[in-house]
Amino acid sequence: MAAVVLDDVVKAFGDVVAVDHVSFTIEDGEFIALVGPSGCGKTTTLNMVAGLIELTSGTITIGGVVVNDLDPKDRDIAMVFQNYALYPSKSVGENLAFPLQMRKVPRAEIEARVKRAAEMLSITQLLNRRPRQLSGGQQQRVALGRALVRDPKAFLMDEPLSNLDAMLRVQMRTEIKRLHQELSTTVIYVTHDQMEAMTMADRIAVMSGGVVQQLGTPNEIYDQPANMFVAGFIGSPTMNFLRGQVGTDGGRTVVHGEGWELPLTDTNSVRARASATGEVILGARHNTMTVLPESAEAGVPARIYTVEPTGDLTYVHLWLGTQQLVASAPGTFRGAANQPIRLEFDQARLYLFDATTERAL
Amino acid sequence: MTTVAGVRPRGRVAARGWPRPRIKTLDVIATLWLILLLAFALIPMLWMLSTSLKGQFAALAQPPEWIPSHPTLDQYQTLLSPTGTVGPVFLRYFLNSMIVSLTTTALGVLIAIPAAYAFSRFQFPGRDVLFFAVLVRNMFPVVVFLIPLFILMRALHLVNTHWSLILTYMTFGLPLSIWLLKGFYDNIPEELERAARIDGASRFKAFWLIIMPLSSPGIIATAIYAFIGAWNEYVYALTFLNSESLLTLPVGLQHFFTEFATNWPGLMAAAFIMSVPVVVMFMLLQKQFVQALTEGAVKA
Repeated sequence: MAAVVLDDVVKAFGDVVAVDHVSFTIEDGEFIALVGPSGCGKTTTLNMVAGLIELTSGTITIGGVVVNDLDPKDRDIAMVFQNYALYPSKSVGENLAFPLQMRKVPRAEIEARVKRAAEMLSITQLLNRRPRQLSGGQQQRVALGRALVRDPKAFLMDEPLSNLDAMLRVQMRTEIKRLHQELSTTVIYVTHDQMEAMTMADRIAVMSGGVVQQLGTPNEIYDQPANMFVAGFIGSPTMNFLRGQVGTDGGRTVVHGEGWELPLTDTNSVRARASATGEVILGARHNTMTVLPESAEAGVPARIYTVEPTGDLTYVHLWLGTQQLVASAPGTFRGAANQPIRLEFDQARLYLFDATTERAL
Repeated sequence: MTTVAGVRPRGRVAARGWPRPRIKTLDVIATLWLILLLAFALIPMLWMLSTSLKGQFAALAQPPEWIPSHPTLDQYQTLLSPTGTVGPVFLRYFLNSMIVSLTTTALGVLIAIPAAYAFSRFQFPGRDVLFFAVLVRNMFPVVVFLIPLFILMRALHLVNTHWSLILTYMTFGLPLSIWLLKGFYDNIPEELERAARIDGASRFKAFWLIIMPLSSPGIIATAIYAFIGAWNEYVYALTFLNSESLLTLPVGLQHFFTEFATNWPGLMAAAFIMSVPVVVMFMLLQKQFVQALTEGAVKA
């Protein structure tokens, strides 16, 4: 167990900067998720921690030791790969024993540790099989087992669940989280699935373009996104964005776009005025808007585009002027295409972004 | 169970849209074609075997005896007995061929494995050019290099040594070996080595313990290729060697039997013995060989 510190880490492949001055600290025993779209540099970052890719500049420290020039084998870490990377010519038992054999652990202890890891993951009955004889879920368990037979300083996981089907993924998500709670080993978990990051991690680093956009707890990331990218990436359905001009209408500050106008509360007015250009982007999550009947007093006029019932919630796609939005309504909601309605924004949960910098205001 | 098993093939045929009789016609044509190919390959072999078991006169009899009426192992005895006039010479040729072919194979594989691995895994300047250059040697007929290589060998003082042949044969076999093995390594996910390196193996150990076992079919295939190439080669052996005691089987046999009156059964027996190592090797390693060629094919 150890803290992992990235200090001003850069990785460039030729002219392409894959990881751009990334610095953060993963505390001892912490579960951190690196999340972002493909090509955002999250896997490259992980591979640099693992020692599989050399740094262009910066330093990485694991447990107080600078590991920049250490071989992967000398970093005392374990890694789980997306395709599991089980050794095809070895049995499950031999796969689990391999990391211990490489470290010259005595035979009796190897057996005991393999047995314990196998029991932990309920794969004891598979120990004599070959990887190709296992299902995807079983292979995944073996891959996890091979990581936890040792007592490494940190676990690195590179999209370990993305090859599993949806149900198994949810199940393994819970199990990995439980394993972390039991072992309390530092975990760096790379995923493109914001849901995995939100549900499992103590803290999340949202990456894009090789830069950490925001680092914080799942709640911080969700409630106070630092910029439009984070706001749009975290949460499902995606946050609605409305680009508009800040203006005044009868003494009140309003934001107006093509075919719509939204009066702002006092707090939001102050924030909107902070925009240098007078142009802002409003961000509203689906559950912060209420669909009201056309006859209602509150809200702004809008029109239904289509309605998607999911049982518990019904997603209402709407036109607000020329902008399309998604709001959620109770499962009992009924509505028809083109039906005029009114849409009320919960202004306490409305996000404002500068239209040029895309930073939160 | 039986019903399911009985229904399944019909379902598959129907799903593919192949009417049953047509499959049969195709099967018949395929079988006939295979028999034809087999005959083409086997009849000369069988004729060779048959002749080797005959006496001198029976070998030249007209009409030919397809199956020897008085089969004899005399020729084999003569060739393989370490005493007498013919045996020691023949065994010497056999040994020479073994030395040259096995050394060529061993060295070739030893060079091809790291070369192919490097081409597959590492990015280095001039990689693509080098990889293409490896093939250039195979774009010319073998004979074109006869004189240049002879001059080269003379400069190296290797003429009339086995090394001249070993080096030459390696230039034939290596390009193909490297290409074949590279295809193999390309197919092995890099994550396996990465996992091994994180699990505590050095780069070399990861290769040795994880990648090598997976690429063994490819290595076996390239070894067979290199061995056969060296075992059967004639022109270079004829040009580079002149000491009787150094000759390899193909050249040796020719010298041997034209010096005396042509002894057909003897020649056939010698040829048969010569083909034994290759046939045995193929039979033992056939599965790996086919796997190697098809896996390379999928990648390409």
